[in-house]
Amino acid sequence: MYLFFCLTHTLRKQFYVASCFLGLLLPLEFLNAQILNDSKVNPPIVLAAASVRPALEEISSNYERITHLHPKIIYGSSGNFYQQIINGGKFDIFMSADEHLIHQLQEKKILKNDSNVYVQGKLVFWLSKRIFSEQIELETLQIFLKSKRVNKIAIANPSLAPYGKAAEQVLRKWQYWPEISKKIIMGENIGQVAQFAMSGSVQVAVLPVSLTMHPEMQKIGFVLPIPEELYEPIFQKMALLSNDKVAKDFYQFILDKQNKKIWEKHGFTVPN
Amino acid sequence: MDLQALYLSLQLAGLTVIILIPLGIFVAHFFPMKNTLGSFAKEAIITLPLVLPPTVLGYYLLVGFGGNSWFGHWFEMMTGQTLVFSFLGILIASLIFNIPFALMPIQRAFEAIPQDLKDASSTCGLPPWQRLFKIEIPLSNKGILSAAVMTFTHTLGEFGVVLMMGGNIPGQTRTLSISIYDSVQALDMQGAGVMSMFLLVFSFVALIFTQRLSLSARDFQGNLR
Repeated sequence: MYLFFCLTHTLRKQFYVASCFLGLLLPLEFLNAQILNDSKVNPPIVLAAASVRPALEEISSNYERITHLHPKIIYGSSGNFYQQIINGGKFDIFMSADEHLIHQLQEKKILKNDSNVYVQGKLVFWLSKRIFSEQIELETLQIFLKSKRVNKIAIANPSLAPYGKAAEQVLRKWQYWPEISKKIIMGENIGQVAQFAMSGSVQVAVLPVSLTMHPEMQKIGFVLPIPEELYEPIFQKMALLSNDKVAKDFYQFILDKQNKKIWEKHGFTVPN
Repeated sequence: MDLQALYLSLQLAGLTVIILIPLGIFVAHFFPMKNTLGSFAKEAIITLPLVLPPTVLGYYLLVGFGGNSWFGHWFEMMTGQTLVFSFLGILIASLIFNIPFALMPIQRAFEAIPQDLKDASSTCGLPPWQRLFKIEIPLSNKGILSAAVMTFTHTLGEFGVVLMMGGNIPGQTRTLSISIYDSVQALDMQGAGVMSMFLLVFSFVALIFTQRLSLSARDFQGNLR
């Protein structure tokens, strides 16, 4: 601000001095940052499905405590990440919310390294306490969804997010699909769906269990489990994208059996 | 508050200003507005990023600079880095996206200089390049400064292109506006609130400043208004 103030009120000479100063300062800073980054070990860059956010945050902070490396984790929809990988992005680990995207990457020969199923996810309905005064049954919910009391249902975009695809499968199985489909709001990824729910913009949201465990979400809504036979099982698969040593290390750390408790705490099932 | 994102945003905005302002002066000096088709086309190209949705720009940048494009491929072979999902990538995106914000105010400021003055300087034997430094830049320094402030502020608020081209990598392409988006999705409303407030206040102050600039105390003849 001081700089701006100077510039308005002084002569052009100072203006030039100031701009030269700015011009010198910034590229130097930029170079510095680059050099600093190169001199130490690069933390792995991880693309992770938004559904694993609460659990992975815990795992990565454990990792950070041990190794003092802070993995760079980006959360979003798996479909979006798939596009980014195909477009030539350089990332280290991809934690998808399903297995199909990983298989597609393998078919395209983009993936050459390991891939493993790390957890199985569960889908639930989240119901706002503003509309629903008590916990209800699945059959009652079907009628509610059709009625005027529910005007917005949030799911993740089925073409980008596996949890959105599963949500659509569930809703399509019901006879009221034509009415229900008009009320559907699509989030770009499942994290955005949770945010729609928490901000009170929708009355019903279809979410993975992990995201409904946020204390705030628990306070303002009920959780209604969805029978697993209503949707294709969600096996979440992860893959190692680079040959970086640190990335391999973190990959193994995520898969480690000691994390089982963390995954289960957040509503995931860990395969044996 | 995500300080890393703030720092990255400031860096991006600073570099954008440093590169675009000289370019703006160059264009305004060597390609003044004329009544020709070429000049209209130039004006249209400068204004284009203002009216195009950021997604259109993001799409073309991804297609043009992505790993599958010949340019992206060539760049990767030469430098070993990819242009998409990197700081350099969002810098290029930001340069293109800010062309109207940097070039238009400078262009208008140069146009406002009376032709008499330029003619007089030529009559006195001042070569064109000296005319640029001794007459044009000093007389339009308010326009240049407001272009710099607008470009800087606009870069801080840029979202769509950076997300498409940069992909939200912490410390590399996660700028402040993307960090806000990310915090909201992580249900961290407080963090998003602090950063939003910062951008709101910063932009407000910057706009007050540009308003103050446009209210110049003297006109070009040097008379007090």
